[in-house]
Amino acid sequence: MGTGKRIFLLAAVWLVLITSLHYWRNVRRVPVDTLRVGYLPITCHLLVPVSHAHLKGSDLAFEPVKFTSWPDMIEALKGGELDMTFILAPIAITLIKQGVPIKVVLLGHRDGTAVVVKKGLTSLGQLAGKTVAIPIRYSMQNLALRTLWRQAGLSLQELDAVEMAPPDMPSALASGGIWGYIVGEPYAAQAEMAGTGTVLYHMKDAWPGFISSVVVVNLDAMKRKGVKIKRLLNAFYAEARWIEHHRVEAAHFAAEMYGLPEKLIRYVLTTPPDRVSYHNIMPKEREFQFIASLMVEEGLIDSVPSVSIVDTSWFDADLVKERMGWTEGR
Amino acid sequence: MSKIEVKSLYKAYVAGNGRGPEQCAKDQLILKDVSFEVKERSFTCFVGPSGCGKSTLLRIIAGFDSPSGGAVLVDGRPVERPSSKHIFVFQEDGLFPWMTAYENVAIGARWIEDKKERHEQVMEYLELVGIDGFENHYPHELSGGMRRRAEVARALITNPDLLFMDEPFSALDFMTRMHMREEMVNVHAMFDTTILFITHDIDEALQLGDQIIVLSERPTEVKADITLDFPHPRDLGSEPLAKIRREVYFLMGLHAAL
Amino acid sequence: MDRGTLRRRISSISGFVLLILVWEGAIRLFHVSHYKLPGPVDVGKGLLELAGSGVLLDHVIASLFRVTWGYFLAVVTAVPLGLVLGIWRGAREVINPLIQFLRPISPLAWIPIALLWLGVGDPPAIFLIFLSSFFPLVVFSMSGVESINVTYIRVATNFGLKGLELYMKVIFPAALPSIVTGLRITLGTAWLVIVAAEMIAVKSGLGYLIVDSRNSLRTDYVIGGMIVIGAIGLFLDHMIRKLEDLPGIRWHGKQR
Repeated sequence: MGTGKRIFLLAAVWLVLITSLHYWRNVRRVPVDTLRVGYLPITCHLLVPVSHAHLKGSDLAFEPVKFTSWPDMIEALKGGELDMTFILAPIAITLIKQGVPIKVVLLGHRDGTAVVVKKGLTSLGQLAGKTVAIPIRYSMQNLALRTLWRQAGLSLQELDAVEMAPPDMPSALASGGIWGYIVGEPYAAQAEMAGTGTVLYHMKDAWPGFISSVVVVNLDAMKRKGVKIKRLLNAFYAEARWIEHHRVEAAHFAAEMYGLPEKLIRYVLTTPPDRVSYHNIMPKEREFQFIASLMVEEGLIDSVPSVSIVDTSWFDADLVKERMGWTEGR
Repeated sequence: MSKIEVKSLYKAYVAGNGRGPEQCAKDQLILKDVSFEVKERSFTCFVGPSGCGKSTLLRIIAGFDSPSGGAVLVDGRPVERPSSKHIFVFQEDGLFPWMTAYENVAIGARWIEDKKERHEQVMEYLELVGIDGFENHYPHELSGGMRRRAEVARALITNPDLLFMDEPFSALDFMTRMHMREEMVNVHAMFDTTILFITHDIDEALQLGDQIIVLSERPTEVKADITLDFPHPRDLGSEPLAKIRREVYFLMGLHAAL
Repeated sequence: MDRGTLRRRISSISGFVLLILVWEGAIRLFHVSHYKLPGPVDVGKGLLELAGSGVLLDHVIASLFRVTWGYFLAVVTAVPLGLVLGIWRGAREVINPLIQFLRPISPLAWIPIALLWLGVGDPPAIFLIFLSSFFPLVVFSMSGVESINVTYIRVATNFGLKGLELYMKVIFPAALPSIVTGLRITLGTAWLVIVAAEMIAVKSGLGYLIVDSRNSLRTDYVIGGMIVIGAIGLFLDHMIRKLEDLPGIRWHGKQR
């Protein structure tokens, strides 16, 4: 049958064509020992675009793996696809409790989260019985909101929290679907800039030193590529210092990689400057034991993990100094 | 010796738990004690009311169906399964619709090993039935008459020993039927095949048959077994053919149609 | 082009024109903010931007690549399996309930498993496309064989066809129209699923374009991406319909 052969040939040609086109245009060849680092496009993960821009072309160049949701990132982490990733602290703790081989090694930043309410509202009490959005149950934002709620003397029964993807929150607030939300930047700043919402609390005031995301390393990867991972972590640490003094440049790198308006990121990083902090990003076991106990209290886990959560043995002051000199020299 | 011997054939559709033919309800019995003989190279027509067991009878003789009782002998041996020497032209369109007329006829010529010879034979048979020039057409692109011709060509090219035709022309228009009838006469003259032919058209049977077997309603019995020893072409108006015609009409209860 | 075709073309285009008019009109009438629903002109501009930079083409290639492989792998496994099950009753009785059980599970339900087993990147997306096509294709091929007109089988046996020849010359071509219908329907589903499949852990493709544009607050790109998805879907359906017009398949529905 002539037509049969023709169709077969056509299909084969198409298969080869589309495969080669895809590999030519979309698949970037990276060296096998390149570290894969997961992140979401939020300012809490600002170290990724900044470090990526600085380390590009050096021997510490890493492959940033962008995710659009936490669950996808969790699956990828469990599947061993990532050497390290930026992830919400409560998720990290839960995974450690589940026996996933990871340790918390660094913080994404401190503060950088805000409670946003409809324009005109002035207290948390006005949200009672109204729908309020949180990013995900296993987030520090959720724990913070519940803590603040209780501190304001409100009953948790009256807290109607729904999970919502952060990019949708500002528009949901504008359309009246929700009365308020708690979220990491830049999605608080967005409503503020658009004039549809007011920041009720900045975490820098309500919970100084607030932790949102952390960096975790995959311990299996650590066994194989430990030296390189340690060097990259020290480089991250150095980059955080750099960000503190170059916020406008940092905003530029982030806007480029995240595809977000540069104006928005610059606003987050500068208005006011202590809205987000890249100081003091070394995690402490004590802080995480506290978070874990808070999670137990809220029923997210049944008990505090029996193993340690934090590992900062990678820290090497000389290496950090060297990296800082290297970055400044560029 | 007869080519085919059918001896007190019974056929019943057994509903449910395997009851034998004797216990079957009357309406489940299709063939009841059917016996007849067919001569070598003869043309036998079966007529009977629609819904009687004509098709079942032919299918049993061709080996597609098994009897519930009695025996069918072809060349003195019982029929057990279909044979590629006993070709059945089905009531519905039996051409493979995904094959061209040529490819369909070639299915009957698979026994010819030499490719060139096979090709020549296929072309010859297409020409014989008058559809040369349409060999690359698919069945749905052919007229009803052409489809029947292609099917006949496919059957004949196997050089069949027995040819079964189950109302092959019933779906054709009047003119085409008349033509096909004539051609069947020619085909029978040219080939050494024994033909068993079902029709509900009594005139068709009278034109074609060397033997007419008149069947009754279900459960089907043989009402009459008539031998026609007349040369072709036949004038159905002439005596004694007209007399036989009347006889068959009466047998089938068609008094008013005459 | 004859008058009938011309009229049909005009009719089908006018539907799109109407949609654009309603779209633009609604924005002006109700003062919809650009952020919620950008107008046709803005979306057009956005699409031109995407196309001009070559980004759009890369995303289209990525999506087509994943659909091609997922679909291709499904075709080469599901069709033979369906044919075998159609013929071999014993196997069908064992495997068919399994297939009927797995079939209604949306491919999207497999996302966590796909990521866990296959990691991030192309493999999980391809796997989801594969799943979306595999089960329906098995069923279509199987029922294609089961519903073959018994006359064709009788004729084939009568002419002494058996074994491989019977399968290649009769059973496969007789089941082919059903298989081709299955191919057309599953290609549609595969394209439907690609967007969802690309919303997970890949960095290219039209689904990614939409999610990424959403995160970067570019509603014009989101709608632009939707338009491209629709257009390609239309094109794919048009192409696969040509299969149904092939001479070995066209007979279906024309006889009896």
